[in-house]
Amino acid sequence: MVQKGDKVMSPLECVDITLHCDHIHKAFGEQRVLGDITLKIARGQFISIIGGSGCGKSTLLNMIHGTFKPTQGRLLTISDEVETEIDGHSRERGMVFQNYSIPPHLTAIENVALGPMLSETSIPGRMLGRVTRSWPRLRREHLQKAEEWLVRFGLKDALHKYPHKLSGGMKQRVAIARELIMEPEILLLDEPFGALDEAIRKDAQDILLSLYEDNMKARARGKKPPYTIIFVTHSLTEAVLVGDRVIGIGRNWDWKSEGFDQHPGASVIYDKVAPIYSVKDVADAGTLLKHSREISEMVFHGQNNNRQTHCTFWNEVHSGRGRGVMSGHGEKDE
Amino acid sequence: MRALIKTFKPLFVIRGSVSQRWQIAIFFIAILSIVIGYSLLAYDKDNRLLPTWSMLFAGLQKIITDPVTGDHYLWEDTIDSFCRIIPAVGIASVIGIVIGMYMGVYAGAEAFFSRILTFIGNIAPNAIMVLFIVYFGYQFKMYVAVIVFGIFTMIAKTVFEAVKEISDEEIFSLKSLNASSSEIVWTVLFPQVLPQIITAIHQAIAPAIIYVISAEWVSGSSGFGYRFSMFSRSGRLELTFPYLLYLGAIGVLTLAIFNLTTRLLCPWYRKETK
Repeated sequence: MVQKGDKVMSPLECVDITLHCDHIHKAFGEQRVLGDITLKIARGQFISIIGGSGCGKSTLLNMIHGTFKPTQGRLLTISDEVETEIDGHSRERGMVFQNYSIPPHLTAIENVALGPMLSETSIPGRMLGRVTRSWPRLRREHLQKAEEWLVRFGLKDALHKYPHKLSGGMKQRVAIARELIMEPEILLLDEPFGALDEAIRKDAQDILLSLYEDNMKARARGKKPPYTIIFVTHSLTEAVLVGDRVIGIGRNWDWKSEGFDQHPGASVIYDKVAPIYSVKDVADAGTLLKHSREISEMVFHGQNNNRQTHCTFWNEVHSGRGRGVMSGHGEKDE
Repeated sequence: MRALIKTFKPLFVIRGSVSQRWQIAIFFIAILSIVIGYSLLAYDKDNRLLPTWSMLFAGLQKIITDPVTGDHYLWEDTIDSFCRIIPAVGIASVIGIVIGMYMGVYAGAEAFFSRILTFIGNIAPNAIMVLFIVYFGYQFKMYVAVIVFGIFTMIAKTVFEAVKEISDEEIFSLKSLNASSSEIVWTVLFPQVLPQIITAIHQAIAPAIIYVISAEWVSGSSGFGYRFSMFSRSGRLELTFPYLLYLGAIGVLTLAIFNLTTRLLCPWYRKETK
């Protein structure tokens, strides 16, 4: 993929884009929430989205999930060079919410096996399958797959527990496993660890970091990285720690030069490469702090009048500074 | 004295807690005070309205097995009335659950039914009995129609509210698991609101008994309502009181049955998590 003959392709050409937000605007009635969001997201990236409360982060995520449609602009998913406009919910895009959206009447393992059951079978199919014995066999496969995911996420002892017996962190791990078993193109996480305390949060973050390591391994073997994650968070350190790219969304705009008479809505005002950590790394507090401070100044304290100055992600990739899954142009980046 | 105050003080603290043993003791005190109060009134020499204990006991024996005719009034009435209540509650539950589930997920169904249900729910079923008597006569169908009419709106509303409480997030994530609409409604949401459905059906039973009693009172052929209309004419209070106690006991038994059903069918359900 990367090298064709002797010609080394430029990094941008060989990047496998999976989601393209093409000049997206979103308004609810008169209220403009998002104005002119343009993003290209590569397969295998872990993207942290940060921004103040109510700036439209969740709206953007919900649009990618398929709950809302953009008022203007196009949202495209790209798979094998085929562009599809997002229209409604699909198994290609899973989402995990802050408020533990897993049904309470199913045990952890049943919850994870719910996705395959709902997408691969139907009510009449299962009824018929009970008679022909094909459904119990398929169900066993589903449960086995679900068990593998839960064991990987450290929930071996909680397989058959109902959600009310699980802690917040465990519930979120079940919710993430439930989405990942569907092998979605993109996984959307809307402040998944917002309600967790610090220690449990670290475990949950490690799970995401281990997924990123899988991506790197796949990349090193020349395969498609399996997980692409877009991650909304309030915590700056979490954003820098988990993401390999940090995107800030905010309502900063220069009304003098841009001359709108009405606020156009929040847009991307920060977009940069973030350092990559593995599960074993002890995150270097100095680097984390440096990044967090910069993001905080730009995104939260409005010290960024020109929207474009801090959106340098693709330039960084271009100049070879993009790391992680973006570093797969021939040589492996450590 | 101080020890006594210390013992009784928790009973008079707002939001204080009382041990299980105390709760049972207080319950017996309540029963005892009712019995003593009743006895004082019944054995008063001017009393003509309250039967004495021995009269009540004789009355109870008579309604269990009539010494003259050999009829088992209590048992026969129970069978007659509950043969009307149970099928009617069954029909009303099915109608109510289907309407409530779909109202909870489809805005169109909600718009279609919600005002109509409020309207229908405000028509007294004993009043609309006139229609059912004209249509069906004093038949089984009439009793069932009165009860169904009286309770299906309640069930539908409770189910609707339970489904409505399920978060959008959960439903959206189910949709992105590629579930069809009927799978979302019947495979995931229905078992999830089953505890509330069971409660709704239980709460509908008390009004169902009211409606069946008033219908039987009017039609005057059999059942609790018929028996009470007879008692009201003859003024036989020593027979009426045991009947009332029996109805109360049935209510307590029903509650126990429904609680057990919830525990068996929904082992995951914990009230405090709501």
